[in-house]
Amino acid sequence: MTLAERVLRFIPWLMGVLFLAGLVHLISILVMPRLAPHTAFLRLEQRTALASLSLLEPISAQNIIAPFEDPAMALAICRFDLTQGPLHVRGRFETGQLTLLSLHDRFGEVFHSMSERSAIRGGIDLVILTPAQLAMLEAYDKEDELPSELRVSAHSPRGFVLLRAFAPQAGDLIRAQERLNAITCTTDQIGR
Amino acid sequence: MTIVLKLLLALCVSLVLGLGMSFYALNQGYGFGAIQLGAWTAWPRTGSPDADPYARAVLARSGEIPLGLGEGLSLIARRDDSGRELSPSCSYLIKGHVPKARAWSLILTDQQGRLIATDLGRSGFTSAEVVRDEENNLTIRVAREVRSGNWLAVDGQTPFVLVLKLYDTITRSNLSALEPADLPVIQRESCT
Repeated sequence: MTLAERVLRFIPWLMGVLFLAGLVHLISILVMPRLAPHTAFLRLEQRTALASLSLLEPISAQNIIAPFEDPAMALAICRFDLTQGPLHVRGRFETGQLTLLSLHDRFGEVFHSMSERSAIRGGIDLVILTPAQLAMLEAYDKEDELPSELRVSAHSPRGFVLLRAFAPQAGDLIRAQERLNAITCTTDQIGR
Repeated sequence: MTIVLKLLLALCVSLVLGLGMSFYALNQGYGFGAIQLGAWTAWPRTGSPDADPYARAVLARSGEIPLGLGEGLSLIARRDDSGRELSPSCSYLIKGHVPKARAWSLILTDQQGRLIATDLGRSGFTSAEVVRDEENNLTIRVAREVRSGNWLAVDGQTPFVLVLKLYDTITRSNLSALEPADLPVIQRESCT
């Protein structure tokens, strides 16, 4: 066999290997959010209760809640499982005090986020529901009235609400935590 | 070599190659859409519904909780202004302006995003804490030994990165208007 023939016979193998390697690469990237063992959701699942507000310990070198998280933020979590009913987040925001809210599904998608400045009437009244629950709730709505709460539908039934309250100075962290503690999360029943 | 052995070998090579590519890709920031401004890099799509599969995979693997679109923007610096990797045995001068935001934090973490324990007990500065000069320029020094003014301590061993978090900012949707001069420069001063 000449060298040229050997190279020619090698090409289909090479192409096959490259194609398969590309496929393995794509699949491993796509399944990562579902299979990774230390996602934010899995870590928080161990330390927070379902459908109620859990204040998290301040971030320090010893207490890493998530990488690159700001120690100047007080953090609170409401973990939800919408198969047990929609999650209702309620509370007042102190005006001028930076407070952030974001909704995360268990696979890491941020499907809603806001700051307290965009809150209506200085407070938060937010319901997270599945598309089916949203349709049911809308069926109960009075026709001539707009719902008073903000409704957000989630792609995946499980996830968490993350509340961050800014503590401008190190001594403000307790007050920031108190601001978060004034917010409640409860599971709603539709139709009552 | 029989065909079965050849097939097995090709399969193994594909797996190693594919997973190797994934491993490599996941260590290169947060996927596509990076915006480089001087020493700082931002991935504005991370934490939004448009995040690409690479960004999702990176976040799932590290457990990081990104800032949502309505919360703010995070920028990271792994190198100084001359492109040299930030070294724990060097001191740095961080100087200049910070883009418009309601509040910001500049934090120092290890390369995995964990805070580094130092005797100083401070891992960053917030916009309210930092002392500025008459022209509203900020100056922060990163060094192992005590410095006057705004000082962030490193332990002299752990490689570190700098993270700038802009909270409640329009910068995120208007990132193309931002120039390197709008962000603080990171200059290496001396090394031991």
